[in-house]
Amino acid sequence: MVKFPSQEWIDQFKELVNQNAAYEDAARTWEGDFIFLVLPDGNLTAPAAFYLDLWHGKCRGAQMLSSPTEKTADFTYEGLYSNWKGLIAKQIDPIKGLLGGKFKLRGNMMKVMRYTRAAKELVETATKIPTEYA
Amino acid sequence: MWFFTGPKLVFGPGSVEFLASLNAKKALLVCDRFLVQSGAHGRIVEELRKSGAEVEVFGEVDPEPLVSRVLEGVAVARNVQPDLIVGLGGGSAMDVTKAIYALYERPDLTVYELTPLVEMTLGKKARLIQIPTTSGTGSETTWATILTEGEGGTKLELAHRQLIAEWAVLDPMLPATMPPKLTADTGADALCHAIESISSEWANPFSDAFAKEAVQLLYRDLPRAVKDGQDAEARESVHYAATMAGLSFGNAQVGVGHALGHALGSVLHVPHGRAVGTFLPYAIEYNFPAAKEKFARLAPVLGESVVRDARELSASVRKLWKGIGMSGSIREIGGITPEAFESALPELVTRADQSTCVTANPRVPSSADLKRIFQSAWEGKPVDF
Ligand SMILES: [Fe+2]
Repeated sequence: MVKFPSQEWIDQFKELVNQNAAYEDAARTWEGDFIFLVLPDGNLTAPAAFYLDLWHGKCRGAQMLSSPTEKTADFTYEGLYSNWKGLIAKQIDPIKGLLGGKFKLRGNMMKVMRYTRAAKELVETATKIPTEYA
Repeated sequence: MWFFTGPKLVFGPGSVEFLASLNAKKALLVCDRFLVQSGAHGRIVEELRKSGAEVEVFGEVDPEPLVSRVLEGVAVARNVQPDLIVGLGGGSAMDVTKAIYALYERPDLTVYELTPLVEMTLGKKARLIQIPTTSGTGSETTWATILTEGEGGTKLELAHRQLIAEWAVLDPMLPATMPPKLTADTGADALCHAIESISSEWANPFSDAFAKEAVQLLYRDLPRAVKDGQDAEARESVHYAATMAGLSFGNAQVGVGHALGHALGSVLHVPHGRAVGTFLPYAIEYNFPAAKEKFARLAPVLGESVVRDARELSASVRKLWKGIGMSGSIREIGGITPEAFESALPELVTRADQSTCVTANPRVPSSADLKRIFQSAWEGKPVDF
């Protein structure tokens, strides 16, 4: 089992994204990096942030940040820890989560809306990691 | 947690008289160019004047409206300073009206920011009323506005809950002059909305209720309305069905049929209803393996044996299409040579792939799937993968 959030978790995520042919197809023209921000609730007491360098269907880099402000990115996708758990368990759809207010996106929304299939494939990838929570 | 939102409805023959009760001081009427040319907008202007309002008309909306047209309308609105904005026409006019309304209310925004993620509260300067003159787009009920970036450009699929009108006025006298082909195209669009929202991942008990009723009314009355435009009962039924279908997909999303249709519309200039109508049977066949239980909800309307079999269900749509003159394949639409289709195919696939309409489609289409559906729909061969 891999703990979420952790560097080990995001390393596995990167590896699995790079094996996901459906993601590669959906994101083949995607250019833009992301910060995934996990806001504290429940057992998570401090915010956690991941930086992901996503480019033309591949994940070129993934890193857990020491603080959410350590890096900037084109997009930030943020939500409470409990909602991230819901997302990884596929109980929350990544786009419906945005429209229903469970997640927030900073960055060019129009651009993201053209790649909703890629977003789904990222979630699909996350579900494959045997995740345990704090 | 999810939502069901829509405008208040005023309906019935002569319901445009409602406009006279709105007590506006200055009204801006946004409408299709052909309505001004034919003088058909005059009745609406008259009703608005009865309310005591000064009326300004922005009658410049064409099919497949460009962002630049919206900006012209915004300039008019800023000049007129209306406290009432009325959209009159088909989907294009109502979509343009929504965007004009938003940018008039919020001069700091651009059209590109009309997305669900931007915080905005509109309605501080003006009320928004929508009056459809065709029976199909459902734009009078929805939060979406489809604009084209520039000639031949991508369709921007914009949306915000604040773009939903306060009132939709459903007067079945207005679509009575639609010619048969337009009645067929717009009615087909309505059926696509209803069926695609039934099979959507975001379908919910409220969207299903409206979708089922819309499917029932359209199967029964669309052929009548196409055959005899003067059949007032059929016109009224189809007009309300289109709004019901709008309420349904506006709260559940459309699907791959609309993604393919928007691509075909923007690349090869096929009217929206004709494009999505052509794709509907293929979209049903493609989605069926992933949406059996969802389609089964149409059993009370179409019959158990029809909804339990992909081919039976798509055949029932094809039969309806035949009766109203809807194209059975892209080739049948006419005006597109095999060479033009082949050379447009990569662009068609890319645009369909990047459409927000696939977001809630029950089966996630890869770019290879989209290509195969386009090819099936070109040849008129059922989707069997
Ligand atoms: Fe439509």
